[in-house]
Amino acid sequence: MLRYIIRRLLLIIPTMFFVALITFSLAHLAPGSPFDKNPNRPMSQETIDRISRFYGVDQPVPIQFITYIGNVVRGDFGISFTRRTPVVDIIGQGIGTTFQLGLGALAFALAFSLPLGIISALKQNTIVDYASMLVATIGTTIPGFVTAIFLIYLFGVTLHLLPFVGWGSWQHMIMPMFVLGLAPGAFLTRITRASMLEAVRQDYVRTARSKGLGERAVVIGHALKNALIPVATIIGPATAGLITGSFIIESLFNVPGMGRLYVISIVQRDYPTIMATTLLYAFLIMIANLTVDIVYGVLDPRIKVR
Amino acid sequence: MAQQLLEVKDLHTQFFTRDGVVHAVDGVSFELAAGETLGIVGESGCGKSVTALSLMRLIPIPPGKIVKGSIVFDGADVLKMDDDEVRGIRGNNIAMIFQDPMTSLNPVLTISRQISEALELHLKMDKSEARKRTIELLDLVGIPSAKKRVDDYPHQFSGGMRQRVMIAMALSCNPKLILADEPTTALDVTIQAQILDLLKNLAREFRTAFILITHDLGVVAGMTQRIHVMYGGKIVEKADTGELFANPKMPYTWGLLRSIPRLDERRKAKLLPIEGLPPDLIAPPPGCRFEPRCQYRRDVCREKEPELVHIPNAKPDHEARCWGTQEGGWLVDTDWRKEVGDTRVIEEIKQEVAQLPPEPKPGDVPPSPTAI
Amino acid sequence: MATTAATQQQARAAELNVLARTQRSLWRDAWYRLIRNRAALVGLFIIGFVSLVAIFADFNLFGIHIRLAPYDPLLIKQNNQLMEPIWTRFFGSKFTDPAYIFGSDELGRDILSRLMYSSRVSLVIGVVPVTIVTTVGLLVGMTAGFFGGAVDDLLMRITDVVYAFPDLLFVIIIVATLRNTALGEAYDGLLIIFVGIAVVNWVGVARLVRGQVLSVKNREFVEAARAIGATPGRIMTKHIFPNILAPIIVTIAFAVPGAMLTESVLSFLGIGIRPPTPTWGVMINEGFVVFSTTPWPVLLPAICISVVLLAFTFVGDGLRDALDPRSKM
Repeated sequence: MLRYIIRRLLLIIPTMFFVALITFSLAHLAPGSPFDKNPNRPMSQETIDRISRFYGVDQPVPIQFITYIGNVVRGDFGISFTRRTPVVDIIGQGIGTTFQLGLGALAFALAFSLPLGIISALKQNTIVDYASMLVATIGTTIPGFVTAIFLIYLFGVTLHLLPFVGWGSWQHMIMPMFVLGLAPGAFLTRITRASMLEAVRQDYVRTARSKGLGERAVVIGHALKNALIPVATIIGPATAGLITGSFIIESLFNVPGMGRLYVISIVQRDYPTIMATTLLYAFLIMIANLTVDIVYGVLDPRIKVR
Repeated sequence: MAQQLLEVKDLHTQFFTRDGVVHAVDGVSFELAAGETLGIVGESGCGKSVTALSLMRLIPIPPGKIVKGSIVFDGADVLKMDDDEVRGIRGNNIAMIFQDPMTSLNPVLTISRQISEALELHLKMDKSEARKRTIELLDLVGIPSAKKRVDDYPHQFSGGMRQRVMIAMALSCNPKLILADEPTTALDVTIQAQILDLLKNLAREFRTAFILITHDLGVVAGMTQRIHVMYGGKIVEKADTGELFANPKMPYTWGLLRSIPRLDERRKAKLLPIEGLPPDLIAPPPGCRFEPRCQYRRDVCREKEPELVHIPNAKPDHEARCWGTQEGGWLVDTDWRKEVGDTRVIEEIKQEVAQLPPEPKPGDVPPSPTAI
Repeated sequence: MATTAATQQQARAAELNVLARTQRSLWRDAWYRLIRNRAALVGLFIIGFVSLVAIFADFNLFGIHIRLAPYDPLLIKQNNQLMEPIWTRFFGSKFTDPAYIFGSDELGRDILSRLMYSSRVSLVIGVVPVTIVTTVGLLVGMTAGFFGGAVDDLLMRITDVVYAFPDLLFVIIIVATLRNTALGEAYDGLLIIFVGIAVVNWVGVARLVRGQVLSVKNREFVEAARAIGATPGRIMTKHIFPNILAPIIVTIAFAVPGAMLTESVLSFLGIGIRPPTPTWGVMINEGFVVFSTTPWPVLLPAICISVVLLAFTFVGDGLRDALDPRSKM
């Protein structure tokens, strides 16, 4: 098990390298530099040269890449073009908020998806089932920013119940967490239902009934444990969904997290920040996938993790 | 007459599907005394498994429903019990062994958990008692080094071993009746005999009655005292095991017997399949259910359904559902044995049948083999 | 006598075949199941309706000129900014004008006309990149699955890297970095969105196709075809392709709304289609400034996106259930 985890952790390195290579190439193949984009304050060629030297962008692109990778290994992600402070510091300011938002959304998603999925599977083809499946379909289909618009209109603009700009109080957190957790939660609901329906049809569930177990013991003790295995595998992609969701939701609700930072740096073409955030996102996704695989091995005795 | 352990009367179990109502079990009645062994034989889809599941009320509702009849077990009607009472019987007084040991054990729970569950529930054992008993049971069914293997998961066992586990599970609460639904069908031929022996010996030892459900007449031959043959949701022939093999009285049973491979056959015999498919149980034939596939049919077979009645030239408790072999029927004196395995003899019989007195109609045109 | 025997045989065959009910072809059966699915049917109608609106918003071909849109969507009217939809009159709004059924935006442009023109962009976004993605994915996936070897290895390596990104993140990086190139500016930014969606999504389709081909490749009917000397090309087109079609159709059905969603997110973030070209995402982005006072310029395109995406999802779900009745998700 330990060897497996170490091997998987080592595999992250080449993937990260390619992610860095692709992002770096894209960023540097794009014409123009971030310094010639301000028509109101045109800079002299001398200034541009000086700044370029400062940021190292006067070097050939491959050299820049090698230097960059070397710095990253030492924990130096460069200095933001627009804010003139180390990227690490900028990310450090936002990452706490993003984690707060992301974990809250994940907790919310799990809290509603598992019970809803199980109930609609057990009450298949009843009103309860149809209603929760409709909610799940809407939740997976309608993009977060559109849902957010409807919610802001209803609870923010019309009813004045919840604030919709900024972060801090628990009232501020409700709508962003809800919207961010909705799509992955809705998806998990569908998976849970499908997986539970599959599980209750299995022969071993009939065996459990034939032993005289009560319905609760059959569903929770026998069916659910099997049904959760495929559900667990979906939590990895769901986390990825949370991450992409976070920069849209953070921008929309003006949450000062990494996601909003990312969108701003993209619009401003602040490459050091874009690079660092992208690498961090890719890293988080890979860690999430690894965690899921480990959990999978624990849940399912048939999987011998090599 | 002694009090029966199990009395099933006029059992009707139906499935309500989009295509119509499937009459899976259509008026089945039988009895079983304590400690007695019974074989229920028929091809797939004849309703034998549904009968067994109905006895424990394990039919999935919906789409299934036990529409009519009574199942009196130990003096109480299972169909009139509330859910808790039924659960008190399941696993405790009636236990079931299922067909596929690969899928019938829960893959994510240990063997010990799955057996001791019933012990803790019905016999109110605590964890360590149940575990001790579980190891004893595994020993009893012949699992080597049971103590070590008790905490293994099902996937670590072979198919035969898993079926032994299923038997241990069925025996755990010392039930009065075990229902074994095709317990050896999914196993290798070499393992089948072992499992059947184990089941027979343990049932005798525990004085447990059992019903063995199978599509294979060869399997029940040495196993049970009596045999009921089912076809199309109905029992078509009932007899003691010896009597059934010596003196079968229903063309369907003849067909089944004919399709058993025999080692003692001297001639280069061909196995003779029963042509055609089992009846559609949504719209069963109005007359005899076997009529469309029967070589010996007459018009009456199509028009009216025969009753399950005592048959002339047979032991007193031998009953069959056939116009031909009933009192005054055209098959009363037919020697089914002539046919076994030899196509030339069959030709003879066909001519014989064609020349039988009342209806000299060629009802024996060989049906076109249906594509499988 | 012979005829009697023949008819009897037929009658017997008919009797024996009661179990084999009316046999329909797989595809007709699937179609039948699809149109019996009420949600899918509603979805199909909505998609049809939106397509008609998109086509006839301004149709000028073969000398026929039909124009459903009441105004030029780019026409700015100074004195008619932020009109509310006419139905708000019943709730006491004074800022309505019967000439603007759905009201006007912050520049005085007619919202109805802009919504209609937006549907054109959405449909194009739904069709073009998905066609590219499907074609490339099919070709690469079938080659990789059927022949294995270097193509297969390369495909798997690429997939590993692409899977480390969330799709949308990747599209955003591509679109954002190349936004100021000639590619990024072509067709108001439409082309770069095509490229972004195609570059990221062909990998998923290729991997799906590869997996399907691998699972079908060694089945008996392919062996049989090979045994009678069919060429690889014939095996691929006549034997493998029809058998992997169902999951591909379902994937396409979900890829279309996926592409539309990507466009609207990009436009909403301000890096998609360039204003003033109207798309639902652009309209939401532009209207968001005045959202707390005049919500309609944002709400109406949001409703349009929701309805169209739901319609596609219903059809996609219906198709999946119809083509694979076992998987009920």
